[in-house]
Amino acid sequence: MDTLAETRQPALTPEDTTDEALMLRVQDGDKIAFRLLVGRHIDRIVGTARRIVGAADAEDVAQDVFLRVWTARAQWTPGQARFRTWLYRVAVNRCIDHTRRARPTSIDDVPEIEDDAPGPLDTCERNEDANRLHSAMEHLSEQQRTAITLYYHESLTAAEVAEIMGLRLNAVESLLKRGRQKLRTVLK
Amino acid sequence: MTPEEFTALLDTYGADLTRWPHAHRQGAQRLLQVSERARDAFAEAQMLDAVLKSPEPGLSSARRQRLTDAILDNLPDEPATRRTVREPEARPVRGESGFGAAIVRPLTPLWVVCLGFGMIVGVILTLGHAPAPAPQSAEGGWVENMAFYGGL
Repeated sequence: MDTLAETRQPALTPEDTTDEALMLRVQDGDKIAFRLLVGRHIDRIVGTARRIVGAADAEDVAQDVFLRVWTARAQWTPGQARFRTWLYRVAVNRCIDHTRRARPTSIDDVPEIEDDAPGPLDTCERNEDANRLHSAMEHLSEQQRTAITLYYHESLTAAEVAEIMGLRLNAVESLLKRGRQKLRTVLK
Repeated sequence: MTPEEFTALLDTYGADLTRWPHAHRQGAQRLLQVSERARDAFAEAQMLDAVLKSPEPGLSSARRQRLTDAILDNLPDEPATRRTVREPEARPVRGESGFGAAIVRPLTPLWVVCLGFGMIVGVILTLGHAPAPAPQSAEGGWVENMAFYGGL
């Protein structure tokens, strides 16, 4: 079945390399195109999930996000939303679902983060910074955490964050402001 | 722009002035030239920006591969998509094929007539022998009867 779905598609061409072109093939059941999309975005989705739900569950959530992208692939409409915006909307929804049913975790439960970074010292420092930030982010509300992550970590505009979260622009600006004020106090 | 307004905007949009609304950028730059308090707040905001923008440690190649494989291995096989919607396969009905179909299908109108006749006879017999209705006050009314028979 999988093999059939993969072999029915013509070979990928350079024009197929945009997310949107790959997604059109994914809508036809092309698993090779889907693998490319997953490979392209999985690091960012795991990173986003780490900041919203915590490192312990980030990979599970990321897996859930891409399974959802596959099952809901027919809902993505080319021209209506950029694939990246749609992907983040799926990711944010999965994170919210996860935090609503998850138990609180302690920092001891957080697994070590593997990294391809060149040196162990660099890795250690980066992990330390990341852990410090994750601890601070736990002081924020779920919505503040999500808005801050999308705006700063993913470099999205406030308008894009509003679209992804399904909120008005001024509501997102308020979340960013209050979240940042709290982080400023916690990280001092 | 006052230093208070500047700080409020820093909290909302961060220290990257290119991400601020156009209307506030010039005022912010003018204030930074004249106000030491604004410069201090700006320097602090830049440090916080750096922390917030710090990249998350990436996945190792092996871990990325494992995760990708796990996702691809768990994809459900449902075929319906936006552009290739396929009707669900019809489930075979008992008697629809073979010897059963040869008997049942031509006689279907006859079965319907018999069923209708049976229902009419049943209704006539029921009306002819229906017991007198019990007084509502003595039996507690239809709500209690319904409750007794599991209607609620």
